[in-house]
Amino acid sequence: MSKSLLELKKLVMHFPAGKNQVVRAVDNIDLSVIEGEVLGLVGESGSGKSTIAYTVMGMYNQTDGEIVFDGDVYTSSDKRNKDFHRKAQIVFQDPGSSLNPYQDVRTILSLPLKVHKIVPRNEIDNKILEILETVELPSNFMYKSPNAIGGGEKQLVAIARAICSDPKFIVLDEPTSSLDVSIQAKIINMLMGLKEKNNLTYIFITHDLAVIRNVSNRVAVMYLGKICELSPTEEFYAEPLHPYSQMLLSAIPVVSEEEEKLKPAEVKSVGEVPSPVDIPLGCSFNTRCKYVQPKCLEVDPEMKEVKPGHFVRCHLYSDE
Amino acid sequence: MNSNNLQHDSAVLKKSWIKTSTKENLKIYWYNFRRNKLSLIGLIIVLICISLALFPQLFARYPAHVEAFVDYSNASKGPSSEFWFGTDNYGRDIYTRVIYSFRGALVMAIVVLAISVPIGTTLGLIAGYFQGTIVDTIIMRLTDIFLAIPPLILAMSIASLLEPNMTNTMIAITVSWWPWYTRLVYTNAASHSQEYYVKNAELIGASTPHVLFKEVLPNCMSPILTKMALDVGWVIIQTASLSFVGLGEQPPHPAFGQMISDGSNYLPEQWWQTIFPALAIIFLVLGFNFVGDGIRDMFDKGSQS
Amino acid sequence: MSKEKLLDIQDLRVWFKTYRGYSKVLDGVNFHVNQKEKVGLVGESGCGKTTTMKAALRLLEGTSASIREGSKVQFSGQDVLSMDNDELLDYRRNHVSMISQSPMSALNPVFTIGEQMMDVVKYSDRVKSGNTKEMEEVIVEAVNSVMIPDPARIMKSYPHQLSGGMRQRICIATALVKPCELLIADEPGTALDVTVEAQINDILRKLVDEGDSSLVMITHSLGVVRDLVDKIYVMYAGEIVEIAPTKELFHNPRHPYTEGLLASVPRLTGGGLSAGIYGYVPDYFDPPSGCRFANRCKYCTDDCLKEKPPMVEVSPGHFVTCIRWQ
Repeated sequence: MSKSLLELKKLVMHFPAGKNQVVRAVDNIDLSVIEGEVLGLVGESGSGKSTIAYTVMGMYNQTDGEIVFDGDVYTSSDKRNKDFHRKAQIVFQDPGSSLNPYQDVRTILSLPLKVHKIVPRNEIDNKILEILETVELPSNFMYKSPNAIGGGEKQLVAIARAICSDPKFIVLDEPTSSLDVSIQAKIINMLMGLKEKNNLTYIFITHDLAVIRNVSNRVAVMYLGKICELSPTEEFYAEPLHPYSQMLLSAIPVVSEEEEKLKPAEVKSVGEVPSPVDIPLGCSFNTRCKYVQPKCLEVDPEMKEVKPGHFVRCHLYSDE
Repeated sequence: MNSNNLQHDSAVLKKSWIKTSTKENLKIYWYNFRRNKLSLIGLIIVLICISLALFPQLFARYPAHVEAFVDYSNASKGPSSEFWFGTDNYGRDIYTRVIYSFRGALVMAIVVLAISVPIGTTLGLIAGYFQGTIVDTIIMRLTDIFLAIPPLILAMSIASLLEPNMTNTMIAITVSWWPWYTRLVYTNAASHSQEYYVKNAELIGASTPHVLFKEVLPNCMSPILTKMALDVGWVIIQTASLSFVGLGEQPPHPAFGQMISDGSNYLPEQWWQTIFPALAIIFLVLGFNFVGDGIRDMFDKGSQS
Repeated sequence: MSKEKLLDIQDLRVWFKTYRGYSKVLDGVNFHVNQKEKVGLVGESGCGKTTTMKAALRLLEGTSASIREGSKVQFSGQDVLSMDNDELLDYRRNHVSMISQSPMSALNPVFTIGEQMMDVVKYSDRVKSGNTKEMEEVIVEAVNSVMIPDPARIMKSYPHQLSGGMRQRICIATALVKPCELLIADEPGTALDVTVEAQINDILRKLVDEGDSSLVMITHSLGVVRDLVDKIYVMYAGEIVEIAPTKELFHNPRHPYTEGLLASVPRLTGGGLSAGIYGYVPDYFDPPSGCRFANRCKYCTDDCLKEKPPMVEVSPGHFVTCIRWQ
């Protein structure tokens, strides 16, 4: 059994929202990421997928629960050490706002090199050229400002920045969602190539299930702060178990008939998305689920391993 | 890959690339600046004022009139071909004295800003970045205290403790000036600290000084520079107000406020003694205000395509 | 089915003035929508699709954009570019509606939904009598047709109190309260979740099928238009490169760009991703004199670089702007 690089144990992240209200962005998550895999984290807005990413990276201190990364345990009061920052990196969704418009590419890339003393000062420029070559950007990008380059190239710079410190683990928060389809393929192929070459582990966050189908080893579907379904990729697409997973898959726009056949029969949302401060009792999906039973309104289902490695949190499967 | 090749590449290509990217940025700034005609007019005015401050002797007609000089035969004469702005009641050429006042005004503005802006900005950066913590509270309450003190009262207190002269007035204005920058930078820094590139720098493990000065500060520069340009005008008006009540540049060396004060005794008959120094202030302040507008437009990333 | 041209854009050229000179974005766009037709305008970011529609509604005035000589935009036979103020107002109020990408910025945060929709009804010709009660009924009907529960409560709410999906539906409802022959939807699902976007597209399809209006759907996603429109215009770098009925486009793409675009879409069937389309969009400040896609095209020949390829009819209703379409 491969070693798990990252483990989330009963992770909780609540944000205060006005008088006596709390946004339960991440609600009691148990998840582990195996070294060398690509874990796809899928969900819509408000699902908590980005919050998990930020909490893991240390941008927020979790409300409760433990984060274990490469042997180090982080509780809600621990700060990440420098070693963590070297081994774990993040690529944000919008390259426009993740690159400082007042810095050129050279300054941006030299920061991680300097902070972690990857190379001596006089070799920084060479290392930067090397990294630019790795992400297939021309060397004259060194002195370009982010304003002068396109979205796809900006994202490549962000990826280059992430690999500067020679990390083991990268969180990719919707890395291609703001990019055109023709550039998306290039970026994703680049990311997969880097993974193989540098032996990286990824959490790939996205709402695009078609992308996940092609990049990840396992898929975790999130809804309102909880994981609904966790499964190896092929099995998930062959047989999605959770009603929300089915709804997501049936809503994806596809471009060919073969894909149409793979989609589950159209599952329409029969209600509104609840507000994150007012999550319904019982199963949080009960306002939109077409299989809703009285039990779903009262009891929150537990995560159950229905097949080896395939977990679902739904009353439809917990009665067996 | 041959590392020697890379070294050669980077050295040779560096120069041409730096030139292109800096030139590119400057071109954008200049284009945005000159789009508004008033900014260009302001720029010309400012350049004139700077020339007057640097080389008054080239423009003035009677340099001796700036020091202790008396010539009652020419006293209180109106504007003429001999004395373009007329004379005061000591017979001194008002035109010359106005020209020589530019230097004092600009020096005052430069010194005050050179000291108060770095102090105010740094405090604002720290308070904004640590918004919500005790550091924020301490700095901002201190700022509030200093903002509550009227500059005039402060200057007069300092003058009564020490002597009234240019240096002490400078100190007084500086002390009352830095809080405005703290306030300005505070809001900017607080919002920019939430930007993803700042977060990313933190997640890379950068030190706090680096984050403050290399990541957050550059984004706050635009309002700071704009305010500085407008503040030149404000400091000068403040200086004039203080020298109007006798604090600041002491006679016989001229200063705008002082000249207006002296001349006000002879209004409205000898209007030239007051009007010309006042017009000079207006000229100077307008020029910097227009330039300030231009600077604000310059950084306006919204108008860049 | 009427084949009358509703919106007819011919040889539209739009240039933007910047510090570097003129950005020649649109260079001769030909686009038309017939009555009761659903048309998709597909292209990636920066290709000029929103600019084309904005030019057709004359929303570009006052910006740095200029519509060059020789461009023609006609609506129901009337020349749009030379309309006077009154005609333009009537055109915008009673004939065309546009739903923009971001429902957040389309709604005014300081007015309630009801007030905003009432304004739209008031200034259109929908309720000629000026009777407030009638207007309210029209509004409620529109809100119901976009499947929003409890219209009365929504009318009293402010935009920030609604979710993104609801706001976008309100924008659609706002487009419906006035008489509208042409509905332009500019990437209505971009800011929304996938399930909500599916809902919105369903609503749009139903409304257009049941009503009398035509639809122009602007998007970068081929998958979205596949279920929605009858005819697709593919746009690249300010030019229309391919026009085809929907099924035909997916089965038989003739332009290299369309081909590359379809290949780049990640598939649910798995099998990894294609390499995307090599190269970058041309510089609008100095556009190539030949085909604008030439530098990225794997079928490119010398002739392609010499002059702009003409639009050729490959099969009935299927047009391509390419000399290598065989």
